[in-house]
Amino acid sequence: MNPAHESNADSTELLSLAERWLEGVISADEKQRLEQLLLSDRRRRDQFVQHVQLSAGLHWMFSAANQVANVIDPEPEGESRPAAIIAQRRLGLSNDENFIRGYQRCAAREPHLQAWLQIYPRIRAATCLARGGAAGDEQILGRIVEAFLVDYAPGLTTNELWRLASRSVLEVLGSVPSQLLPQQVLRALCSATFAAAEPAGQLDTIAVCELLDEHVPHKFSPDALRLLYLRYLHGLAPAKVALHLRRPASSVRLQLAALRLDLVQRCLNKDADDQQASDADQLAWRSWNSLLDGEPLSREATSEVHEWIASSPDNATRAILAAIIHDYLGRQLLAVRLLHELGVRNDQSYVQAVEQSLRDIELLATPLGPPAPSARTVSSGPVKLAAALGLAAGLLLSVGLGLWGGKSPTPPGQPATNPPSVAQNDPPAPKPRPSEPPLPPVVAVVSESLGLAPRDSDRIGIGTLLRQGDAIAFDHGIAQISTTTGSTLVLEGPIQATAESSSLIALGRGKLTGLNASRGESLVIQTPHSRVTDLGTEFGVRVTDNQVVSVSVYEGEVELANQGAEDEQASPLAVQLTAGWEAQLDRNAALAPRAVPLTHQREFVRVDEVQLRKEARAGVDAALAAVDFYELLRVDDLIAYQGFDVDSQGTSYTIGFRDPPIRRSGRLSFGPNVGDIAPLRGRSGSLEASDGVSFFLDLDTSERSFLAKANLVDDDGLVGQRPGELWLAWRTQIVGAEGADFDWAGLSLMFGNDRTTDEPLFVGVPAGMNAFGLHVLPSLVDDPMRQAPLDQDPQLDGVQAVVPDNRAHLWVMRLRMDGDQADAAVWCDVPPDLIADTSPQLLKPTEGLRFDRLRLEARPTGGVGAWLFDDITLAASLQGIADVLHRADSRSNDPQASVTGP
Amino acid sequence: MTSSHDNSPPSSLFVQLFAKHQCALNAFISTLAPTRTDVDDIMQETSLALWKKWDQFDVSRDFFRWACGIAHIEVLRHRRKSATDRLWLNDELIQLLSVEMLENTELFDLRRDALEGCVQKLSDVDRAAVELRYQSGMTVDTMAKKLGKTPRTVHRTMSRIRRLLHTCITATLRELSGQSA
Repeated sequence: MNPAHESNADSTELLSLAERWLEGVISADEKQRLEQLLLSDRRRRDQFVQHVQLSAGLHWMFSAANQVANVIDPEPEGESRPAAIIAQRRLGLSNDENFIRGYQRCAAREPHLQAWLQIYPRIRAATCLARGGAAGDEQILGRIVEAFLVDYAPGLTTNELWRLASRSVLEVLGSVPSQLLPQQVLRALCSATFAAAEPAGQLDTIAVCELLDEHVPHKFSPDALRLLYLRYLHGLAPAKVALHLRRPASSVRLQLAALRLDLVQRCLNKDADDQQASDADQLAWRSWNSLLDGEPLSREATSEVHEWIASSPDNATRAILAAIIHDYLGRQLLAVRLLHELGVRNDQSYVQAVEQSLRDIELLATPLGPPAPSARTVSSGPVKLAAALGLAAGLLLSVGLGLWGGKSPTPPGQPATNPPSVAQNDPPAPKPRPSEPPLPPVVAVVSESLGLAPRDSDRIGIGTLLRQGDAIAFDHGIAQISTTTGSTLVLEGPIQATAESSSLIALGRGKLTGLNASRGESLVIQTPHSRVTDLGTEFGVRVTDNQVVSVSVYEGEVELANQGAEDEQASPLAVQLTAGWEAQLDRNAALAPRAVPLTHQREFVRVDEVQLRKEARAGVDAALAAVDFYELLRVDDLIAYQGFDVDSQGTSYTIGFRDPPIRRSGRLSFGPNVGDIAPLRGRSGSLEASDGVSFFLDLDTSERSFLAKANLVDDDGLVGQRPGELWLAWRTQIVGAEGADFDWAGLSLMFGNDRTTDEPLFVGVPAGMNAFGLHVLPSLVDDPMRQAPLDQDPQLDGVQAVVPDNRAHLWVMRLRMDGDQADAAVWCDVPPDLIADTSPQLLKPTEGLRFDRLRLEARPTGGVGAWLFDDITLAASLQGIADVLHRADSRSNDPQASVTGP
Repeated sequence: MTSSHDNSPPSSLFVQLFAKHQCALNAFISTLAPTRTDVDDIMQETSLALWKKWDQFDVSRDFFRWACGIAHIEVLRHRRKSATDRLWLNDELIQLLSVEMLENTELFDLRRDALEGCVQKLSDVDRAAVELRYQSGMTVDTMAKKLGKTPRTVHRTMSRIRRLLHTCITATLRELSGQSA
């Protein structure tokens, strides 16, 4: 069994048993099983403890009645909503633009968001019913959502929101010509479906989707599995399914109705036969199913259905639930899912049903023509069918149908000698095409692609099949592929790779992340001179142009081994890497690579980030900020960044500083972003310094810090004495009072908190100066000119001082350090890309420079006014500074730039 | 407790430390005992035992570890006289869980902190269900009667909410660790 599935199944069982134990209703056998599971594995015990402690935490939290008021207080507008974000993922609608439009508008209020999660699936279901799956559903949905959003206001009560949804559906669907849903039925349905704001009862769509997730497809009988795949994956009407199965159409319709009823009853927590249905109910249910299958109702049937829905809220619930399930099956019954879930069941009949479903895919795909390597993008068919074709063909051709029957896999290209048995009423297998050479087996399918160039997306679009030996090359963007063994790989452009097999990718150049979820099979990344082998883990591999290989491990363990071509007899140099470690291997390395701790977790685009990027493209603020931050982490030579995220009080989206990220001697206050565009979107603000309060940003100088990696940290954990170059950039702006004066205001480099002894360098408006300038610690430098002003134009005679004003300013400082000697060069308001060709506005030698923290401070002369500090950036090169600051500029030209790909 | 011990730590410190750790101690006991009644009884017995032994406590030691050690003894003592014997986990597991919980106290503290934030993110309806269950102390059956649902539906609702909270807590911690990466 696939370890992931086994783990999921165990996890589900464990949690179920833990629930029963908590409720005190566990049987002796169940308790024994619980103990057995817990004793067998530490991870299970951790899971159990977390689960039980969650319950204990709730007991504790709610045992004090006065806490309840706090819990139910509404949250401030615009606050992040993790509960709703998590819940919406269960619906599987994150690719649905209409859903996202409504989600974004409702985002300011948690009750509205939660209501939207309930409302939108109902809107989809009603549209599905009215249109019978005809083309143009998305436009109709778009019109309904538009109508909803036109009248939407954050001040609406939840009940008003539901009524608005009902009105919008009636208005749009009522005006659609040739729709299947008779007006009277539509009105009755809307009245019942959108009348109540109470979503948690029988029709909680989140719970419905969770239950369907649990059941579909692996809890179906083999017969039902095949029928549903024909109906939903292939979109065949019941009459065509009947033709394909050589069964009477009425029997297919009946079976579909029974299957839907079964799911409806499960969602309602009822047994399929726990309610005695009258003949009228049964007739109405069949008619309702006809409607779901796109068949218009007769006048009599319309009347029966209307009466059935109007007669009981339970019937109305069943009706809309059936439509929600119908819509869900249409969206979720993908071949990829079928294959991913394969490990859950291994009984022979189920395996045969899977095999037959795969044969169906081959058979029914025949009109599209045989897939050929040169025409991998199946643009004429739906995406899911393309993916299905790929995986089906891949499995049939590469491993043969005996895989699940315990037989040896058939070599690629050779027909299976013992085709599996099929049901008697199945159609004959397709005739072989002897004249065509066998295609290489399909080993993977492209499951996501973001930001590829048009020429690349034609070749590597979603659903593209990758056959053994296929090259994967593109210049920019991201492609995610799913292999037939269950692994997922994220490839970042520019990249050159080859799909050698479902478990072996050759990486010539570029970056990829692998998430191995196969059944214990290693996923191998072969680079030109090394081999990365993993088992059940997540890791990233990078091959640079000069063939240096870097490997970062996020979960599990991998082995990085060189395979030196020059001396094949030599034993390979190898290192085992566990989670949280990385290593590099040079082509000519004579020693085994040294493992070092990961500096951060986002060097590579990981599988979860692909989803985040999709959400970012849809404009979800939290996703935008996260993706921007991950991109920022990938800037070469970046050492530290603090953009002053307002929501988290500067504790999130920062790197390179120790905890707490902002130490201070007084009140912490945030202002607006300084400058037009921030490197991180959505949340960025600035630090407001006034009243002489000191704000310290302590640099991370630990072994795994960027500073240590840049070799700038001495044995005392200080920067300044080791030879090297360090660049700093930051933005400032004076606010709060026109023409405010400051005793001093600016940024200091310090090695302690005492300004009289521990502050070797200060940049800003030094004490006693009414201009931008620099100040060095007097005790360290025997220099009468320990203060110096910036000179706007060093080419002119005299000093062209820069007088403080209320505009935003960008500061860049270069520190060149060499033992006890150092110099500081400062530029103000010079774009980073011009700095290399621009003389510094101030160049000051210093002695004894050493520091491990930055201090930000402003003391207004009359106690009025403040300095805003923003985008504090440290980098090992000017290019690093430019890259961070240019991220914002490039986005202003292309808003999608950072979410589509590097 | 005998107050004659000259070197015994001050009572005010006991109050301070106990107040600080009682939530975590309650969680520790809850993991080992099967019902709320058992947990409440053991918590009470443990509090009393801690107070009685307070004069033996070395203030340089970790109070929480010391308290958990005593709680563990009280759990085993309570188990012997418990009427809910069939529900108790076996000794080996109780021992294992106790040790492992102490290895991960920081993580569990973080999870408890995150729980509060996640509860605040629940929908009104889900929060109301949680309040009924945990604040009013209703059993599932009582909740089912009050809400006009089947006990199975209430079980599923509570399971779903707990899963949602669990996911939210994990996501919160992951976000925290990712953001300070």
